[in-house]
Amino acid sequence: MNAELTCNQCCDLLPEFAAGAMSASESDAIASHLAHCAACRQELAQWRAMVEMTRRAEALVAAGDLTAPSALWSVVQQRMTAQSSVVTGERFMEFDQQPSEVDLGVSRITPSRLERDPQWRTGIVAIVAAVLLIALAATVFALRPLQRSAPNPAGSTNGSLACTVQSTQPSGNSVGFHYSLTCTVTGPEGATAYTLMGSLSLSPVDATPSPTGDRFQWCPNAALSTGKATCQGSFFLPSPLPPYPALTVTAIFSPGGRQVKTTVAIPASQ
Amino acid sequence: MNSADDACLTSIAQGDQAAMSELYERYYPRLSRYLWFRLHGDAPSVDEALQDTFVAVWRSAGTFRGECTVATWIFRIAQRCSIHIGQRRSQQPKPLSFTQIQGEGETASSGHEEQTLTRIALQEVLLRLPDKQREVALLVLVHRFTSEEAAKILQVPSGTVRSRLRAARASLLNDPALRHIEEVSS
Repeated sequence: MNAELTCNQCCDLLPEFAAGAMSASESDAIASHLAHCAACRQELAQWRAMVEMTRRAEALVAAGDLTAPSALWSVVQQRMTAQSSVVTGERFMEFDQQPSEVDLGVSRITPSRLERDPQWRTGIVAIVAAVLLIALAATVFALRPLQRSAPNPAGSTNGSLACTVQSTQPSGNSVGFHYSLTCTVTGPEGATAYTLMGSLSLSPVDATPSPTGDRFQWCPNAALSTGKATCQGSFFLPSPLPPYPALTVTAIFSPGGRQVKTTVAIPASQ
Repeated sequence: MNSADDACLTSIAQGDQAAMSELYERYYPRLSRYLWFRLHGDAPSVDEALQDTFVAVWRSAGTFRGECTVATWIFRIAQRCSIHIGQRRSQQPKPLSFTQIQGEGETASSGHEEQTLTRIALQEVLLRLPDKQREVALLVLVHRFTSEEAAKILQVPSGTVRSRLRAARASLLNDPALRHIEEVSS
């Protein structure tokens, strides 16, 4: 980089300089200009304040947990495996593709993709044939009354989830509106652990002043040794939110990453 | 260039799931926070975008041409995945201010609550920024991408990135809530 920067050139680069995003040679050129330009130094001070503020706000988002959750990885891995078994070695997302063309999984293949890639036609024909074969086998099986299998003890192949929320009295000088949560989880066959994740929602007209939110979870990787478990947790809201919103809770089972979701109303706070 | 990222992506392109797991561990913290702001803190959408991003990286590692850093490439994918999810969720309810839920049996202290309230205030200052301004502020000031790299991620000219950054700074400096937080903090 040219060491003789103008003030305009320097100002263009100050955000990256303040953020430490530049190479050493680029930084040297800016430092050289700053050494004799008070106006640009003042500008830099403002950018540094902004870097500090945005990093502080951004870092606090993940103050609770920076660890990559194994439950999410299980889901990703499951989708990776499903991908490999259907389209072996297929890799086609180019850097310059438009967002609408991003291929996000087997279930989201776009029509344009199908039209321009004959390999996909072959793949889809194979999938359709496999589905028809499975349907035929299932029909034959269903027509054999003496050999029907027993119903799944969990009542559902995806598992089940039932939750209640109660308002609780805060202790001491505690502020906010406190609630307890109790969920009963029944896992699908083969599940050995579960994690509960939740989100709080209102309709858009009620989402004022500005929609924010947070990731939260209860009973991470809790054991599901008998196929059924109860999870108790708590949470509080920083301000009253009438009308009271609903809490959506999702149970993610592992291994396999299967999910089941329920929505529970939040009662008025005490 | 991050040689560890390059090596990892090369292995992923050859179908190495262990390398994919390594990349997941390395990028989850940055991507989850980036997507949190992109999707206005809607946790289910963030999870969905994270899933889609990592699956897309797995599928597409072989197409990486080395014309940018691996981080730029992955953030570009995450950005597109979040656009896709944001469009689908645009008609659905949005979440409100909410606190990080503590582990089972853990009691929230009043100190924790104060921290939570400050955190919410700071986040809301950032969330009040127009989407385009917030996005460049996060990419350049927090994630340390250069203007050129941010321009590649967002598919806009680098001059646009710089003008959005200046606009973001003006918006933040004029936010009365930010001045209040600074007074309380000091």
